Amino acid sequence: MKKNKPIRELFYCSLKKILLTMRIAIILMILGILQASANDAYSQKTRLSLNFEETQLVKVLDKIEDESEFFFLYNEKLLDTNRKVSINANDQLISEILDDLFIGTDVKYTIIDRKIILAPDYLTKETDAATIMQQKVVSGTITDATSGEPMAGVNIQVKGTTIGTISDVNGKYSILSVIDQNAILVFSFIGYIQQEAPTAEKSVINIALTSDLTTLEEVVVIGYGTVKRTDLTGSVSSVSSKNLMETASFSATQALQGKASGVVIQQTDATPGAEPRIMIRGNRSLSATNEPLYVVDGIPLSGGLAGISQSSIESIDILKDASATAIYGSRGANGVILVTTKKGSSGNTVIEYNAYYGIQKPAKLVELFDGPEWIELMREAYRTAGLYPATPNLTKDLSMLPLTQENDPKGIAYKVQNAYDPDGSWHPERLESTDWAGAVLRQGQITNHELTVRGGTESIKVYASVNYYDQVGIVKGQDYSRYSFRVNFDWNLTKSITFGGQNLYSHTDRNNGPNLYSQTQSLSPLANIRSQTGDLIGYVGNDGQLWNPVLNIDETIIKNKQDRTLVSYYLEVKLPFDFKFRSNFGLDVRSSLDQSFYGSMSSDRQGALARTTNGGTKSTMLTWENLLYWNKKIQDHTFGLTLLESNQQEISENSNISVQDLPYESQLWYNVGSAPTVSGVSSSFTKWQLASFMGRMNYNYKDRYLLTASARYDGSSRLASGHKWVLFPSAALAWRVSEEDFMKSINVLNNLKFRVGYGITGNAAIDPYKTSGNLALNRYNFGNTNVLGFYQNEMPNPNLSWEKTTQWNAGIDFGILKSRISGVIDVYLQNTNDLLMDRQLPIVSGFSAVTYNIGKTRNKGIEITLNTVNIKKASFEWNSNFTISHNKEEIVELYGGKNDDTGNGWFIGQPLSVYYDYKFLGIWQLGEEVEAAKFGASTKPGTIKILDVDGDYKITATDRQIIGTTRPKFTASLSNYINYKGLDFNFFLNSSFGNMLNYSRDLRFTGRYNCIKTNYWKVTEYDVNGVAIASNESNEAPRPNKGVEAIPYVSSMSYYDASFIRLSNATLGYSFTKKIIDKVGVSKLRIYATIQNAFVITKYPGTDPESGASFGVPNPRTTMFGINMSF
Amino acid sequence: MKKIFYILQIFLVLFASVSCKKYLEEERFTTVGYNYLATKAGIESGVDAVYNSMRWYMTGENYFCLAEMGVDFTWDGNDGANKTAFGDYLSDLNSANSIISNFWNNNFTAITRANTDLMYLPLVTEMSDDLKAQRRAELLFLRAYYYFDLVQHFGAIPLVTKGNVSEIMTDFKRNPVSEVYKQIISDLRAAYDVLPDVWQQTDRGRATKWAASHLLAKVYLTRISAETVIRGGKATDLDSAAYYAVQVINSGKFILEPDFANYFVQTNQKITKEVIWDVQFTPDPLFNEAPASNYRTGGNQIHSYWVMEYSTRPGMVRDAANEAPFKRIRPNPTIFSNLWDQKFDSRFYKSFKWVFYSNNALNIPVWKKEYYYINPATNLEDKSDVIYTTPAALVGKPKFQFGDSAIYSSPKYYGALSYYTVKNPKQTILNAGKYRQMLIDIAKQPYALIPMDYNSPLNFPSLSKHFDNELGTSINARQGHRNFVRMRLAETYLIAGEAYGRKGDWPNALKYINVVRKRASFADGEMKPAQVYQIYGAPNNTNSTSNNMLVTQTDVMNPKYSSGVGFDPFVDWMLDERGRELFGELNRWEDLVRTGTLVERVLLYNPDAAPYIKDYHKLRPIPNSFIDRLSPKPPMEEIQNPGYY
Repeated sequence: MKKNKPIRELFYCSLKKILLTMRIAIILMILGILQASANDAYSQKTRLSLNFEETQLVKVLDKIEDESEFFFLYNEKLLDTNRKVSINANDQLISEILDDLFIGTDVKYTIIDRKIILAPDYLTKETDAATIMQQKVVSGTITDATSGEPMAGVNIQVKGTTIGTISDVNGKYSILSVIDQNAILVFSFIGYIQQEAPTAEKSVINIALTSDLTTLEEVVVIGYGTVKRTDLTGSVSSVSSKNLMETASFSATQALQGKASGVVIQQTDATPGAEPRIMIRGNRSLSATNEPLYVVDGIPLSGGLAGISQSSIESIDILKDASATAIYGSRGANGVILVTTKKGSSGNTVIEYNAYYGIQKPAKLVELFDGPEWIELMREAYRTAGLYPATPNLTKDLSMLPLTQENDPKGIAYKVQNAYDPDGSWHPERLESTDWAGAVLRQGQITNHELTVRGGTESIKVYASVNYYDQVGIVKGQDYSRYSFRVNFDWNLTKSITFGGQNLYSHTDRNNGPNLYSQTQSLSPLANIRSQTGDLIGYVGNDGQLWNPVLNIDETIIKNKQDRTLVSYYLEVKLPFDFKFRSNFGLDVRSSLDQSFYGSMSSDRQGALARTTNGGTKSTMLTWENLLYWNKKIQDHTFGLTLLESNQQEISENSNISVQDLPYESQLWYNVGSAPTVSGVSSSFTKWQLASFMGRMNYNYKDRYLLTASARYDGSSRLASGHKWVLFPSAALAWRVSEEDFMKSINVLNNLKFRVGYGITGNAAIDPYKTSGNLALNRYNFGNTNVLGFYQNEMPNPNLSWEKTTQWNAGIDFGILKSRISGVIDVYLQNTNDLLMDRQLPIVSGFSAVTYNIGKTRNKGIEITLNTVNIKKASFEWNSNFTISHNKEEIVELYGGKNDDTGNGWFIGQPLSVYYDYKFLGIWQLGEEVEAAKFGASTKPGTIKILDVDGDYKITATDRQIIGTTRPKFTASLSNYINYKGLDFNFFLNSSFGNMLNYSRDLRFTGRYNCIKTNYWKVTEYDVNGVAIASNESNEAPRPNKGVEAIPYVSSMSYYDASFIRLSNATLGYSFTKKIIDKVGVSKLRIYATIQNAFVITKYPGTDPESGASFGVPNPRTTMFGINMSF
Repeated sequence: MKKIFYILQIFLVLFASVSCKKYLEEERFTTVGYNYLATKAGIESGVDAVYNSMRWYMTGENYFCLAEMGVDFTWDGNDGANKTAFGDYLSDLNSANSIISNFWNNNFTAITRANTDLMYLPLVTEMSDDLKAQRRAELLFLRAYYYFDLVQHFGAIPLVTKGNVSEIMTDFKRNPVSEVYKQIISDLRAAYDVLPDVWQQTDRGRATKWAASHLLAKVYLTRISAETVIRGGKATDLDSAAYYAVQVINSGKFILEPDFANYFVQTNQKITKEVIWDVQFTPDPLFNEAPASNYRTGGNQIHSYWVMEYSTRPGMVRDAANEAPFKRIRPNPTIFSNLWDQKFDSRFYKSFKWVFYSNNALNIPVWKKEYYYINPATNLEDKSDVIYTTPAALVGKPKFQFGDSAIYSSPKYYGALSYYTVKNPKQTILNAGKYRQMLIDIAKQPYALIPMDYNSPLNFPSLSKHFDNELGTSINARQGHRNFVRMRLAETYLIAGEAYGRKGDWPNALKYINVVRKRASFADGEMKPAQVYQIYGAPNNTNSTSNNMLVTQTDVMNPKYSSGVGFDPFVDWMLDERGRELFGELNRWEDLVRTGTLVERVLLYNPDAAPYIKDYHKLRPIPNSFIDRLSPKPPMEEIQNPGYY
C-alpha cells in the first residue's frame, strides 16, 4: 500500500537539520511543542517579506519555509494548495501574512512555535453544535505509545473519503464523521505505524501510535549531502546511534560489528585498545590498503576513528557501491564510512548521563600439558632418540631435566625425585603443576562515564559531551584509557547564513605490554615461579631459553599515548535561485608518543642493562572544501546539483630513538641521553596533497524514477607529473515501483524499489615519493670509523597510477505488510584493475621488485538485510534485524598474467589470502614402515604423513595445495529487540562461516618445551630387543623426538575451520516509570545489565577465532551494569 | 546579498591558487634519489653499502651452513633446523631453501650495487681522480669477491657488469663458469694494480692490494684444481696462484703470529698483522647492523654454533662466558684420533675448548657409594654389577668445588663403543673390556669425563675460534662483534705451498708449508697440555716441537685421509693440512668442491650425509625465487643445476 503523505513535507524542515534522522526530528518536534506555550517568541519576532502574484499557494508556503524556520502541517486533501494567491508583504509578522493568504477561506491557522497548522475552520472549532447535530463527532487524544507524550500533526482520515483532520498540539482531535455509522478512521503519522479504528457508536477514540522501526522515511547521509532513503539510488547501510549503543564497545568500529550487511569487521586481537579490521565487500588490493575511507562530519580522515567515542555519534552510513563512493574518487574503492556526530537542539536543555561498569574474564584458555604429561612427553622424545628406557627411570629423568638452580633447590628435579618411591615406582599424582596462566592473567574491568548536554536558543544550538573510558586488560601489563571532550554547535548568523563546528579533543593512553599469556606456553609446568626465598626466578626451570614472563609484568612497559584534535567548521549560505553555498574546513591533528622500557630482568634483556625507546609521530591533516548546491522542483521534476572543489593535505613527522645500557632504571624513557649506547635513531617526514573537483546531479521524476550521476576529478601529489589527474565517474538509476498507479492495488507490498548503479573508484594506495625511487640506508664500520651506506632500493616508476575498481550494483528495497517486513537486497560485481603490485623481478636485475599497476581482482556478492516487526502491541513489542552477506573474492590476474605467485600465496581464481601448504593426512603408523621409507629414511612411524600429490614419493614444493582461506564464505548477524512495558531486552548474534585460521600450536617436541596439549603418537609396547611393537595409533600429532628441533611439515597440522556463531551481546534493561522518577527530577532513568561474548559456538580449538592465531590474548567475557539518565 | 558575492569572490581566488601546479608537487626530505650517487658523499656511501653486504656471511646460520655443514670433517650436531638440508643433503636442500636464496640474493644485491656505483662514479665531479680510481678498484674487488663465492656454489650464473636503476629486466641467461672466472680475474687484476700497498687502509676493512692479491691466488688455484675445462683453467694458473700468494708473503706487510692461538684471541684479532682482510663488526650496536631487514638482529652471530651442551651438566649453568650452547655441528670425532699429530701439533689443543669449569655451586654432584655397569642398549644401570666403589671418606662429599673442572671432553678414544651418529644413535660395544675400563675411568673422575667414545651431537670438544667474550651479561645476546677474518697469512702460505707442490716445485712448496707447520708447533718453553703426555705419551717438557712438525716431500705425499684411488695424494695432504690449520674458518665445503673431492670424502668420512649425497650436490640449486621471475622462461635444463628439477 502506498504511503500516506497527508502532512506536507514534515521533513522538509529536516533539510535544515539534514543530519538528523526522522525519529530524532520527531522527538525534537515534540520537545519543541511542549515548550511552545511557554515560548512563542519566534512568531512574534520573525518578520518576512514576500511578493507573489497569482502564485500557487503551495509555492508561497514553500517560500515561507525557506525564508524562515516555520513549517506547515496540513492535510493536502483538506487544503487547496493549488489555489492561486497574491501577496505583497514587507517585513510583516507571520500572522499578518497568513491572515492575508487565507482571508475569505474556511482555513484557520494555528501557530505553535515554528509549526503552523492549517485546517478547515470547522475542525478548529471546539464545538459547533448546529452542524454536528446531524453528524457524529468523534474526538480523542493521540499519544506516542512508547513515551506517552501527546502527538501533534497526526493525520486522521475517514477511510475512503477525503474527510480528515490533524491533531493539535495537545494531541487532541475531533472529526465530523460521515453519516455512515460504520466509518473507519485511519490514523497515520510518518515514522509511525498506521492504525485504523471503527467509529461504531463511539464518540471518543484515543489512540496510541507506535513508532515504525522501518527506515522508510529515514534520511541517509551520502557523501556531501543527504537524501531520504526513498530517494536513494546507491547501496548505503545506515547504523543509528541507538544501534551503536546497544553494545558497550570500546570504539565505534567495534560497535559497528555485525550491524551493517556487507561490512565485515574482524576482531583479530583481544588486546585492550586493539582496533578491529574492517572490510567492505571483501578485499580487492594485494599490496595496498583494504581499509575504507573514513569521513567524519564531512571531513575525510586518514587516521581512522580512533579517539571518537561511539556515544557522540549520531549515525554511521556506509557507502558500499561505486555509484555512492565514486564521489570520493581515488579513495572510494574500499567503501566509505560516513560518521555524523550529534548536534545540539534549541529548547529545553537536556542533560544525559550514561555509565557502565563491567568485569572481564577469559572466555576460554588453551589447555597445555600438565606436569606429569610434560615429563612423559620428554621421556617419549628421548625414547625416540634411543636415550630413554621404556619405563620411568629416575636417573634418566634427572639426566635429561635441566638441573636445579642455585636459588631454587626445590625445582623440577626435586619434584621429580619426590614422585619416585625408593623401589623405583613412579607416582605422577604427586607432581603439582604450576599455574603460569594464572600468574599473568587477572580479572579485567571496563568503566565508562559520559555526560552530555544538549540545548540552545533560536540562533545557536549546542551539543557538548565528556567521555571517560577505562579498560584494565585481562593480561597483566595491558590496559587502555581514553577521555574525550566534544563541543558541536550550529549558529544561525542571519536568516541565510549558518556557521557551525564540531570540536573533538581526545586523549588515549594505552599500556600495550607483551602478550604474557603466550609467553607461558613453552614453560615447564613443573618449574617454580619464585625461588624458596620468594624471589622471581629468571630462567624458568633453569632453561637458558625460557625467561620468566612474570618478571615482564614490571620490567616491560610499552606505552602509546595519543592526542587527537579533530575540528571541522562549516559556513553555509543560502543564495538566491535555490542555490546554497557551503564551505567546510577540517583540521585533524594526531600526535602520539611511543615509549617502551625493558628492564634488566625483562625477557628482552635477561640480565643485561636496561634499554628503552622513545619516539613519536605527529600528523596534521588540513582539508578545505567548497560546495555549491542547487535544488529545484519544477512540477513533477526534481533536480539536485552538487558541485565540489576540495583540497587536502597531510604532513606526518616521526622521530624515534632507542638506547641501551641505562645507568639507572628509574628513569624509564625519560633520560635517553644518559645511556652510553645508542642502538637506533630515526626520523621521517611525509607529505601529500590532493586537489579535487566533483559534480553530482540528482534527478527525480514523480518520486518514481530517480537518477544520480557524478564525476570526480582527483589530482594527487603522489603521482608523477603528467599522470596526476584521474577521473572517476558514476551513475545510478532507481525505480520506485510502489509509487506506480498499477501497484496501488497491491496492498501487501507497501514499498518496492529497484536500483542499479555503476561507477569507477580508486584506491589511493601509492605511498608518497613512490614514483621517484629512492636509496635506502644501512651502516657499516671501517675499524673504529662508522660509516653510512646508501644503496639502490626502489626503482622509480613514473607511470604509477591508482588501482581502479569498477563496480556494478543492483538492489531491491522492499516493505511488506505495512512494512512489518522490510528489507534490502543488493548484488554486486566489482572488478579491480591496475592493481598495485610489487612486480617481482629477478634480483640480478638490481631490484627484487618494482611497484607496478598490473594485476586484477574481482569481488562479487550478495547482501541481504531484513527488518521484521514480529509483535506489535501497546505494551509488547518485538523487532528483529537480520543481515547476511556473501562475498566471493578472487584474483583474476597477476604480474605474470594468469600465473600463480606461490611465494606470496597468490593464486588465480582464489581469494587474496589463502593457506597454501602440504596436506596433513595423519601419522605414519607401525606396519607402514616400508611405504614410509619410500619418502626417505627420516620418514618412519610416528612422523607426519603428507599427501604426495604427484605420487613421486618425494615431498617437494609441488605437493603443496590450497588448504583454505581466511575469508568467510558468508557472515550473518541477528539482532532482537523486545520491549515489555518498562522492560527491554535485546540480544545480538554474530557469525561467520567458511573461514579458516592458522592455529599453530608451536609443537617443539624435543622434550624441552611445553606446548599445547595434543594426543601425540606414542609407542606403548616394546619387544625384548627394544623394538616398538604397538602404539597408541594417534593420527593427531607426531611422535616427540629429542633429535628433531623443527618437526618436518608441522605447519600442515595447524589449519582449522574458524567459523563461529557468537552471542556477542545480551542486554536486559528497565526504564522507570515517569511517576517514580518525576519526583527526583529525572526525566528518564534506565538501568541495564549486559553480558558480552556470552558464548561462542566454533570448532576452532584456539582461544578464540577472533583473538588471533594460536595463543592470542584470550577474548574476554564481560558482565556489566549500566545506567542511562536524563534530566 | 552583496556580502555573499564578496565571499564567493574570495573563494574563487583561493580555488585558483589551489589548482596551481605547484600544489601537487612532492616535497621530499626523508629520502634521497639516485642523483645523490653522483655526489662525493653519495658515492662514498654507495661503496660503503657494498661492503655492508659482506656481513651477511656471519649473520645467523647462513654461510655457516653452506661452508661447514655436510663436509668430511664435521658431523651433525643436535640442534638447528638446517642440518637435514646442509648436513645430510636431504630433500629440503632444494631450490626453495631460504639459505640458498638468501645467499644468492645477498651476493647479487651486492654485485648490482657495485655495478650501479661504477656507473655513477664517473659522474662525480668533486672527487680527485686518484680517489675515484681507488674506489673503482675497491668496487671491482668486491664484485669479484661476491662472484667468486657464487660461482663456487652455483656454477654457471648470470654475469652482470652494468648498473641499472630504471629498467625492468627479466631476461637473464647463465654465463659459462669459465666466463665468470675470467671476469673475476680481470676485476681483481685491475684492482690489484690500483689498490694501496699497505697492511690495512686507514679505514680498516677496505680492500688493499694484498687482499686482491690473496684472493687472486685463491681464484687461480681454484680454477686449476678440478673441472679445469669448465672453469677455464689455464696451464699458467698454478704459476699465477703461486706468484700472487708470494707477492703477499713478500710484501713485508704481514707477520704470522708466533703463537697459533693469538690470531683468534678476541683482544688481538682486530690488530694482528696476520690478518690480510676481514669483514668488520663493531661494538656500537647502531653500526653493527645486518645487510638486510630480514637479518635485522645484526652482528657476528656465529660464536655459539660449535658449543657443546655443557649447561645441563652437574655443576654447570648456562652463562655468557661459556657461550650459548647451540651445538649445531660437531667436529668429526674420528679425526680427533688421527688428523693432528697430537704429540707435537699445538693446533689440536688450541682450536678447542676441552674443559668447562664449574659455574654453579648448588648442583655440584656428590660422590655416590658405588658406581654400576651401564648397559648401553637400554641405557640402564645394572645394580648387581658394581664397577667402582668410592673410598668411604669421600662418599657424600662434593665431587668438586665451584671453579674446578666440571667437564672434560677428552680426546681419548678407548675403542669401547661405536660412534654415535645422528642417523644411527644406538651405540654398540666394540670391546667389552675397554668399555668396562672406560666406565671405571669415568666413575673415578670428579668431573664429567667425556671420552671420544661418548662423543655425540650433544657432547664434543667445542671449537673456540669464534668465541665472543664481549657479549655482555645476557646469555642470549647474539650480536657479536668479532671481525670475520676472511684472509690471513697462514692461508696464503698454504696456497703458495699447494701451488708450488702441484707444479712439482717441492723445495718451494715445502718452504711455504713448513712456515705454517713450524708456527703450529709448541714453542720452546711453552707448557704443553696434560693430554700430550697423559694420553699420547709424549715427554712432559717445555721443549719446542718444531722439528717434529716440519714435513718432507714424503710426508706430504702421505695424507692421513685420502679421497680415494686416483686422487692426488698431495692434494689430499693439503686438505688435511688446511683442515688442521683452518678448521671451522668457513671454507671447507669450498675446498672440497675446489678439489673435486666433496662427494668422495663425504661418503668416506661423514656417516650422517653419506647415504644421501649425490654427485650433483657439488653444486647448489639455483633458487626458485630467481627462476620464477624470469621472463621469458628458460628451459629448466638451462637455468637449473642438474638434480634439482
